Amino acid sequence: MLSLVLVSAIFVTACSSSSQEQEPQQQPDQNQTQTQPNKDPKSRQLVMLIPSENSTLDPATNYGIGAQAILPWVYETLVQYTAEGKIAPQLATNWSVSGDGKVYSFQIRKGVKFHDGEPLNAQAVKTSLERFMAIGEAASYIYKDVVEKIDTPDDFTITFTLKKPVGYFLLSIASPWAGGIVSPKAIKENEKKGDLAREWFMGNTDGTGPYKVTEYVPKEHSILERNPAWWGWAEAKNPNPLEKIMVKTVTEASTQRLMLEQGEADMAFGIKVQDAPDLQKNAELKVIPVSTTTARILAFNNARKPTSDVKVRQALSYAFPYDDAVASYGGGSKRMVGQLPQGMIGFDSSLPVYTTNLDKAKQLLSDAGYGSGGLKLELVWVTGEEDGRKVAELWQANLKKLGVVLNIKEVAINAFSEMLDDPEKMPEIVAHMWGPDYPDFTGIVSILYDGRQQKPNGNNMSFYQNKQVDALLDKISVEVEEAKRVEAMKQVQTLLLQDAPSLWVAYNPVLVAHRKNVQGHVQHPLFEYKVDFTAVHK
Amino acid sequence: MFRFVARRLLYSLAGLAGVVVITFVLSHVIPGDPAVLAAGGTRARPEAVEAVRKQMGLDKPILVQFVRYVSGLAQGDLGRSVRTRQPVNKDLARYMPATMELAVVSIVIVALVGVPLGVLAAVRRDGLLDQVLRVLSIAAVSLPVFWFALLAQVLFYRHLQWLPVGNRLPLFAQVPPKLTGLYLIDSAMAGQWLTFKNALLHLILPALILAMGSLAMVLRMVRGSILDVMRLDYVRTARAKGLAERVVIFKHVVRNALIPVVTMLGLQFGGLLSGAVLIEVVFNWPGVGLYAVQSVVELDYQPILGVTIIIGVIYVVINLLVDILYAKLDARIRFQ
Amino acid sequence: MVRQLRFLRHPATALGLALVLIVVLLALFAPLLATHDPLAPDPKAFLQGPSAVHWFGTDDLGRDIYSRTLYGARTSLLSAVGLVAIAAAIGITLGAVAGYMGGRVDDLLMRTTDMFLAFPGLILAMAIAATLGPGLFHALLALSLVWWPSYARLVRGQVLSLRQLDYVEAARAQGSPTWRIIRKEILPNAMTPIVVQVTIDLGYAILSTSGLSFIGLGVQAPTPEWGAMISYGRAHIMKAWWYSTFPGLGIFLTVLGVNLLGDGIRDWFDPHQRR
Repeated sequence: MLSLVLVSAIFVTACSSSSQEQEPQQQPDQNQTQTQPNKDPKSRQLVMLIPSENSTLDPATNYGIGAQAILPWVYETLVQYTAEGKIAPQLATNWSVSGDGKVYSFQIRKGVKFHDGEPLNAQAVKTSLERFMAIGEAASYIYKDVVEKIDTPDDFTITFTLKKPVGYFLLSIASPWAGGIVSPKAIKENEKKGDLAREWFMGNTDGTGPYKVTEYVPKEHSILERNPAWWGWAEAKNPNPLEKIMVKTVTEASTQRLMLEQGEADMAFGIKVQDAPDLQKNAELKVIPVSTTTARILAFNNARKPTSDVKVRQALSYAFPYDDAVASYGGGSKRMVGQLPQGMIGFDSSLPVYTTNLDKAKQLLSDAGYGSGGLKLELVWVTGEEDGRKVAELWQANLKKLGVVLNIKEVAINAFSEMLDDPEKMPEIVAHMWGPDYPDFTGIVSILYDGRQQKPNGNNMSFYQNKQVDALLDKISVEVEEAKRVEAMKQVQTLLLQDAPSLWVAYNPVLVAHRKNVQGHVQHPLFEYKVDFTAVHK
Repeated sequence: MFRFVARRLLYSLAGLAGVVVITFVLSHVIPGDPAVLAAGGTRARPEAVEAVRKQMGLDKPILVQFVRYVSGLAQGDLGRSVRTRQPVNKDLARYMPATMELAVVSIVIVALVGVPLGVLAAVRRDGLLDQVLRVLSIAAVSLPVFWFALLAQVLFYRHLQWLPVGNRLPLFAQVPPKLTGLYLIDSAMAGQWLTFKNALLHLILPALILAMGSLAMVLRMVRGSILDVMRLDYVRTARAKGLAERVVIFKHVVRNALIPVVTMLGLQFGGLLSGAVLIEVVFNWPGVGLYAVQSVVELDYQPILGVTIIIGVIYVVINLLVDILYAKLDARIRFQ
Repeated sequence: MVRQLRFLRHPATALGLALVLIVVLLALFAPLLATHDPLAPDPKAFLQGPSAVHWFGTDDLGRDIYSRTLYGARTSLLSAVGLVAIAAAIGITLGAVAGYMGGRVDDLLMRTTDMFLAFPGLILAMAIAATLGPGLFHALLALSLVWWPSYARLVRGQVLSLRQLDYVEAARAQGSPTWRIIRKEILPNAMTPIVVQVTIDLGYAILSTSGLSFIGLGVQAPTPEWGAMISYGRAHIMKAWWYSTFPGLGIFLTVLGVNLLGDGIRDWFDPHQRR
């Protein structure tokens, strides 16, 4: 009787198991003999926990934050953005810009091979980038919007002719979402019904990087294995390079903590910041609180009453409990000054900030006609962004004292996006996050506040428009002289503070924790999950 | 007999069809655009979203989508998850074995522990054991399973450190050759005893907690069933004949009392599949329950539908088997 | 009167009644018994442990967990009662009508209930609630859509057996309208198993609604609700055990009380059952 149940259960499971496609072969590992004597095989394995998921390995379509942990080590770009904040060569050894700023010429590194053995040349780069632009996803706008044509005058030279001069071009193409170079051979061999091998690249990799993905379970984990043929190992001077890395998605903070403490994981990026003091007491762990460049912003609906009134927006900005909000993050979070993170060109610590001043808020509210109450606002936050909810609740308490009613509503991500496309549908306030695709003012500020890039055609979700600001943004985009750019940036930021189209809170902190025996890790200032695996060793 | 089975089957299929239609209709009533999510969220440019929308076939009219969906279902195609970008049936095939293993081990625990304890409780009726078990049973079904699982997790993983955290096997461990997808069976069949031990260690706590509620119910049911049967006349007659008490119990009572229990175990299995959802969330167990919840949070509708249908199918199959079994064991029911 | 109170003699049932009464009173008088505003954040008191000021500690926004637990009792009790009420109302009406009228109507009802009973409850409720969107009302609606069939079946069964009785025939002969017959003659006599089912279901209702909230489908922030609080506290459980523990205790003790009481009530109605 029981056996009948068991048999049916097994039957069902076996049927579902047999319909499963072949997984890429998993390598046996536990008793691997090492080329270096006297080294524990475990010292060449690393487990990294991140709270974000990866649903595709294709650099042309992965636009998520989880991409930072894997893609840069499998697929390379022409130039890279180092942990010290500089542009450095990667697949290009040197480059030059024409006098008018419209033609960029790169020399391709010689002797580089793809994982499949094919050599890298200018044509391969061109093919890969053309695929990227044709697919049109992720941050393809970085190329699509600015590049007029790509030429390969010889096997190892590639030139980009831009539609107009773009001061930040080099910075933008170093982004992890700017289309790492994939093998043209892989594209050709795995193409199915004109899909440019999308289906294949979703679960497989073929690039030039120091690692390749040998096992991939979407949204769960990826296993990276070292590519000994990579061109950069000599330069990396790593005494004990990692052979096998597992990047695992664990969304629960407490589970990440357990795994790290018990030694099942070597690095964890998703533990709650509030746990830092406890972790610091643990002698086996090293704890690094990091303030990222992902900003928590509360966007106002500038196109509709009552938030279309600048006085209302300023009043709300004065009513916000900045210090408490930053404290609710648990430490390591930096208050936003202006709209740029510290360390980026254009950051200006002398810019004024809003302070919590309920009296001033009250004054402004009555100027706007809400002196005796009557102001009702709706704030929407996205499922999963708990800190958005938390700061909203703190704000709600302050606003209550001023007679302003703030309704806080949770919405799922796809309903959220639909809400943003129309100023009539958009609520008065929206809690969102913004992390730059590349480290330049244009990717952080212009993209959000350019009046001509309002949703749904761009990312200006506050429906803000100020012609003066637009003119300055144009200047910043084409100007080559840094001093002039910085001056314009300062003007823009000042104007934005006056207009208060959004409320700028703080930068998300991430608690990076790893076991003490993990050495050589330098936290990247821009991409919090990017761990230089070529430098790390145990 | 055949007519009985055929009729039950027909009803079940009708039920299944109805739910498919309802859930599909509902799924197109929800606000929101799944293409945006797949394209990377609110950051994605409109052209990127359109590209994704076309790629996923979401730009076709609703009726076309429904027809495609139903015809796909007939071929076993459950659509594609926006979140994982994989076909749902592939995702289900990946996650189903984990849930199955959990449910199977739980039902085994329920049967092996619940039934004997129930018998004991009945035999020593109103004794200390019976009273204690009664209180524990009621407590077990009153516990919010997710809360209890959370506390157990902290206790066993953190403070006692008796058990490893999360997952079905240690990371980097060798997965046993695939026979059923249930690691315990597969590793035992392959003679990989270290893997077997690891799998068991990872499995034991979630399975125990999942089993708790069912165990309590089965225990009470067994006890009740035995007491009922004990009251029947022929038992009194058997006793009058002077057979040893134990023989009376074991031969007549238990065998007859277990008929409804068998069917209850079958039904409990379905309940375990459903209860596995919360357990999987707490223990981060990679099963269909966790998959369903993650999809729910992001309003990824195809997987939700897919999981509902697959669990519905299993439930229906089990109910059918249970009905047949019960009919076989108790001829009185058959021709109702 | 003596007979009614007899069931209280059994200690377990008495305990059940006591627990239920305590929880109901706590919920009822929450505004008086709370020490803080359950919705008021206190930025100086994030994640503090139980103390003289905050008896159950504070959450990640500094709110008092004791007060939130008290108000959470309100949410949970009201949700459970509401859920059972809606499910029972729908189920009883449909079941009574179908049982009385028989024929095609009855068949239709049976097939519909088959359809819903074919699915394990939580999964279907999750699917429906996900469609409707986040929100307590949607979660309750989803759950009642999943629960009404058992009431319908129960009542139908009762009605079928009562339908043939003499006094019902008499009422029909007198020309009483159908609905009155159902209401006056049949339902009152069918109530016994319904009452038993309701008391049993109340416990499950609390567990189900808090389970859905735990997943994120029920109550919306900042309303205090036990399942949601356990979910929020989960990320902090290693450091702030109090956050998830107390709401969970609340659920456990309430459901335990309801179940003990329900057990007692069931025994009172049918003393031959498993005493």
